[in-house]
Amino acid sequence: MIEPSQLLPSLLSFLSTSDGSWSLCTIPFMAAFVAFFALYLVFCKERRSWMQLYVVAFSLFFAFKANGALMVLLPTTALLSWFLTPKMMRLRRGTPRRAGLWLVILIELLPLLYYKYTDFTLSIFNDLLKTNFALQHLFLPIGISFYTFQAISYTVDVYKERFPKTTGLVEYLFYLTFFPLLVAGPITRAGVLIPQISQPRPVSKELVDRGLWLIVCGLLKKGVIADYLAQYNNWIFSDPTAYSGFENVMGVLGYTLQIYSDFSGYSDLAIGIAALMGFELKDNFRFPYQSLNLTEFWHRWHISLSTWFRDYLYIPLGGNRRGNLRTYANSFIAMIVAGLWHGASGMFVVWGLLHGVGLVCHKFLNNHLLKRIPDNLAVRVISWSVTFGYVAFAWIFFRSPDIDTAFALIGNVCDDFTLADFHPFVMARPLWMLLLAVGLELHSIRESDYLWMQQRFVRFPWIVKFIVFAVVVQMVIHLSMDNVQPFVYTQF
Amino acid sequence: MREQIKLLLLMAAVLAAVIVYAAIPTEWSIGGLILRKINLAALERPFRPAAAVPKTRIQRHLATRQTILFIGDSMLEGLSLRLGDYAKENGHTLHTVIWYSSTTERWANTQTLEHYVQQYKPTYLLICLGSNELFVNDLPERTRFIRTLAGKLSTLPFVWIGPADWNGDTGIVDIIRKEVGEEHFFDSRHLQLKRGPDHYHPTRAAAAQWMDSVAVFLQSRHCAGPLLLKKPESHHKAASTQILQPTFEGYGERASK
Repeated sequence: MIEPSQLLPSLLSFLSTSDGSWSLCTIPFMAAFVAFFALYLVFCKERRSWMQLYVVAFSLFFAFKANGALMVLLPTTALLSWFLTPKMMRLRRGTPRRAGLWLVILIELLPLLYYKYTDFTLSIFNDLLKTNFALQHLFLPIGISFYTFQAISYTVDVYKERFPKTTGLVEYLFYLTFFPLLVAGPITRAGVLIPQISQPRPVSKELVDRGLWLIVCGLLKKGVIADYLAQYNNWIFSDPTAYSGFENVMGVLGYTLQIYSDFSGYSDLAIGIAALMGFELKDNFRFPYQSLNLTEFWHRWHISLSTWFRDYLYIPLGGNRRGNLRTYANSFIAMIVAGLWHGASGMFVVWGLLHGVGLVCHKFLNNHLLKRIPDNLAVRVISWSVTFGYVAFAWIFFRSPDIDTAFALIGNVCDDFTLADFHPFVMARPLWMLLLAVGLELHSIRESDYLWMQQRFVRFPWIVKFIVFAVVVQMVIHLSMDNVQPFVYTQF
Repeated sequence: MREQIKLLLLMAAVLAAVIVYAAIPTEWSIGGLILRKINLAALERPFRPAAAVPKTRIQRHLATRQTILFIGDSMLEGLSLRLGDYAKENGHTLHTVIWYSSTTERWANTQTLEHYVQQYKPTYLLICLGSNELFVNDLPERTRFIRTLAGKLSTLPFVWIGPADWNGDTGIVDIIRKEVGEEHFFDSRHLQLKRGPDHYHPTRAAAAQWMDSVAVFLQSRHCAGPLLLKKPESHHKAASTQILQPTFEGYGERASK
């Protein structure tokens, strides 16, 4: 029973302390959002500038809850980026302005490079040069990889005159600190969000209903499927040789679905919450495991990141305009950097390397062979199997804590796999198998069917929406671990 | 705006419903009707970190191609015939050592077990012992023997098949279960086995049924060292069986009582 006298101290404690498990998927956030949203609607009716300041304030509070004192990096990055970008545009075109661009990008990157890659760099120095530099064990601020890339995209877009330099401070703060995007993206371009911040526009019923649908999908994917699958997957990846080859394969399949559900679920939550507030953002995932080749996979997986690397790294390197060899090299470099972006660890580099090799192979085969192969069902099935298998294989390196564990897992699968283990496995873990099967099955539906389901949900009476939402939230509470699994992508 | 307000009210209502559901008692009765909260945690939840199950290889893996050493008393006569079928069917190698009239004292206080472990180099131990001690009165002594024997057995994956008593016992079976642990013990007391002419040893068919029940346990997740034991399609001749007479004193020096 809650004592009324404890309410105020509890509220003050909530407002003044950070929380490592703070995320879009928790009951405290849901309660805070309901309170925020009520006042947000009042401000929307009154003055737009009040609404903008209010959202910025809540976003900074959100950053504080997630990062504690380190949240100051976010407004600092925003202020520097906003201030320096127009200054850069005052420089003379050509070399001076280009130098100014590099300087601004470096300043925007500095916090990310320092907090994320210092220990990694020191470890490499220690290994190569036999030095003994002490590792700093720095705490990585949540979301730093995402808002840094957002700031860089703004600066480059202004430099290329794709976006005006005259964005107001509050609007820019709103754009960079926008709380649904803070923890794990999607990385949103200035041209997508800032016009919606500046100009009032009517919020359509379809947008709001779609927002609710995305929130329900996000909770199901992240809170039900991903968090529950993770429990078993964590055991496998922490000690693969303690389990059979079959169990290892199930762990790999489980992680393949877990990372998709976790990250796309979070993206759905972020895009859904933004939609409730009247902001329309682009999709971040489009059924990536339906891809028939790796190039298609990267057009469907983490779209905001892959397009960022395409526009701000691959194309500036020359893209596909400097011949085949240069195209292959550019693809390879982009994937290595993408791997490093995910984490300061050799395992992410290996993962990026695998995708780089896979992309280069696909581009090479596409140029020389694949176009001659007929496009029939058998070819599609084989293409899908190879692509899915390769992506799942690469996830082994992404998830394993070190290379020995990855190879131990692979070795165990090769040496000890038998289908006879299927029946006892299913008997021992029926719910886990059910969630895996349902998750993979739902992922295989056609996009048109998915849109049909969305439309059906939107047309449900409010009482049905209430029941569905309540049941989903309750399932998330019941199936979650004692501590909410952090979003996989918040480690980046 | 109107749609957004409806959404706000919906979210507030869901939040209120969740909080109310959390606050209501787990079980409450209205008249004669008992209502319980649906608890999804009651569903299969094998992964509780707080109650972590040891993650050893023998925990979950259905072991194949094992060299099994089956030791014990005269109950092994019938059990080992059926186990031989299982072993051949599933690619295991079976060595049986039947020490007639033996007790936990004999196996604990001699080096007989060690002798055969050295000889056959098993990867898995099965033991069926206790049938000759169902009505003993010196349980503290027996506890010591069982503890010593469990210590010897624990150097390898092992399972102890408890005696199938038909007239109760003075406590030896519970002691065995307690000393070796649930995951290393098959409790045979619930089995209704047809006895042979001596009214003591099960018939061949009953012994086969007994072994079939043990095999189910040995394949399950309740067993510390699960073995692959698909049901055999046909009978295979037992290949390696050592018989030790009741008068046999055991290998090595007999430890003092």
